[in-house]
Amino acid sequence: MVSGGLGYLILIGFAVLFIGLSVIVSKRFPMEGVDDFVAAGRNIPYALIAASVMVSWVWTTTIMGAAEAGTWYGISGGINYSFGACIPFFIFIPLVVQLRRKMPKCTTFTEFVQERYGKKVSAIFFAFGVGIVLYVFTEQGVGIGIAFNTIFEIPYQVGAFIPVAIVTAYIAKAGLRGSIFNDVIQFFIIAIIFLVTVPLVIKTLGIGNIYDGLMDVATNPDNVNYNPQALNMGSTVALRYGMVAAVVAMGQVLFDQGYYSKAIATISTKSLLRAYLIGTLLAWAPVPILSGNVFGCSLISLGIGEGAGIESLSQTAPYIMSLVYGTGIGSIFFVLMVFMAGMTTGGNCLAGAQALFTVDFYKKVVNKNATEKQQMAFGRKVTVALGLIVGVAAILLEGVSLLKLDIFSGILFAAPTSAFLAGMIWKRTPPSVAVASIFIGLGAGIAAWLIISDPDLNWFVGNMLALFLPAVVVILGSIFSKYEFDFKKLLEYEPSHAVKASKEV
Amino acid sequence: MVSEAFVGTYFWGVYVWFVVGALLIGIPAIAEIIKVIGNK
Repeated sequence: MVSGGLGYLILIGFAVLFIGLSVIVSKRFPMEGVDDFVAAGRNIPYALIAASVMVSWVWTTTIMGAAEAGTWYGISGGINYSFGACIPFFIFIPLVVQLRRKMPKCTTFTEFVQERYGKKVSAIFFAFGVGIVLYVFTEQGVGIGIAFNTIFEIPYQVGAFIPVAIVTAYIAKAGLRGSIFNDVIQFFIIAIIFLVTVPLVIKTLGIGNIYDGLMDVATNPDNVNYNPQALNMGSTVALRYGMVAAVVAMGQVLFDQGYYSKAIATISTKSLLRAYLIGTLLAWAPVPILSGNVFGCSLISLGIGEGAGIESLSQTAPYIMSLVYGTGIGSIFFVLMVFMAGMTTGGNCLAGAQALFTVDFYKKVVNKNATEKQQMAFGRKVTVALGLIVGVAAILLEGVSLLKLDIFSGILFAAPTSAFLAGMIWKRTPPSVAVASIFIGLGAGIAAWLIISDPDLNWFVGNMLALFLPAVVVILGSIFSKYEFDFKKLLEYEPSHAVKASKEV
Repeated sequence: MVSEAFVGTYFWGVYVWFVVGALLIGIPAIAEIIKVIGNK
């Protein structure tokens, strides 16, 4: 256990750093209008976007969950987590490039949905967009609260609420640009900890010892972690885990406005491609594999498991870090990683929500004659309100298992995916089919989850149905439809605020 | 089951992969930050 005073010092120190940075950013880059506020003036270079995308996709679970996957599945745990969570970006990247080309003055994905399917369908997607922000940001607050409580014995409520408040303050103050600059600082902290920790763990434990330990896990039925697949790269159970990770992550990427805002904020389409490919495939993808390998596999190779050396598998990463650094430094590094991971992910969500409410809600629903200044003021107020909701929700979720919430979120946010993708590439998909596909997928997924009694199967079937059944509905509904959407309409789209669209499109 | 040599290559290989990704972001990001600081 590390002194609680140090934990408070970390919270206060980073609050000063990040809020101070957002004040400097907002002074150096004065916001002239809504586009500056929610899309950072559309002139951010690739490296800053790449850093921001990478850390936004590093969740607390990318470190702790992947480490657990390494303990469950051995050497195939981390890689299945990684490939599963990368798949949505293979869809998102070409999608957002298309969006930039087809609708150059678009900022939010709900603007696109409104033009493509109409206001009512857009309202449904808006609800999904806000829902994903609340769910993802709350989960980050819970993760950080647990880390501060476990390591520093700081009351869980304080450890969960304060980081949420810090993120809320800097997003409300400096908008997307402030979020990106803070992300870059957090990228360096996470990267440096990984760059130092990984070789240290491998050197301390030794590949030979890790291998021998894993061999025992794979061959000795008396081993506490006995798993014959521990040294098998092609474990089918791990593959199934990766497939569900892909479904769960699909909605978390496609309906998180933060990723669209960053893509739109990139200075050019070429920079966008470079930023997202480097940020996800080169920098993010190895993180969960490393966590699975050097935390998860190392732990089980030592003969440690749940009830045998640690109380719960969520202690995997902090246990290994304490082992190589000693209790004090190891614990601090672990908390810093979780703290940074949670804040950047939460910041990405909140910046996205800010864009949704500023661009899509205020002028369209509340005040049709609003000036851009009034839109921005409303965006700031909503950001603070959402931050408060998330902070309170994180406090209320103390001690609640988030596993069911995760599974339910996979079902919930996978269901609208097909309608959204079809809307982007297929002129034949009518709004009625889009809506039907969402509710059919949602109903089937939840029904499967509730009806199937096998707890090892119900979540898998529920998630798969929620993703693939809407695809069937969309394909059949579009084939037999006479509806045709004219994509040229999107090129002529003019938003209700001034936009400096890139000249290249 | 994979061999010890495979596990070693795999662990270190993924680490190198991460180093490359981090450098491709980190170096130009530092350059951009210096540019921003130097502009005013």
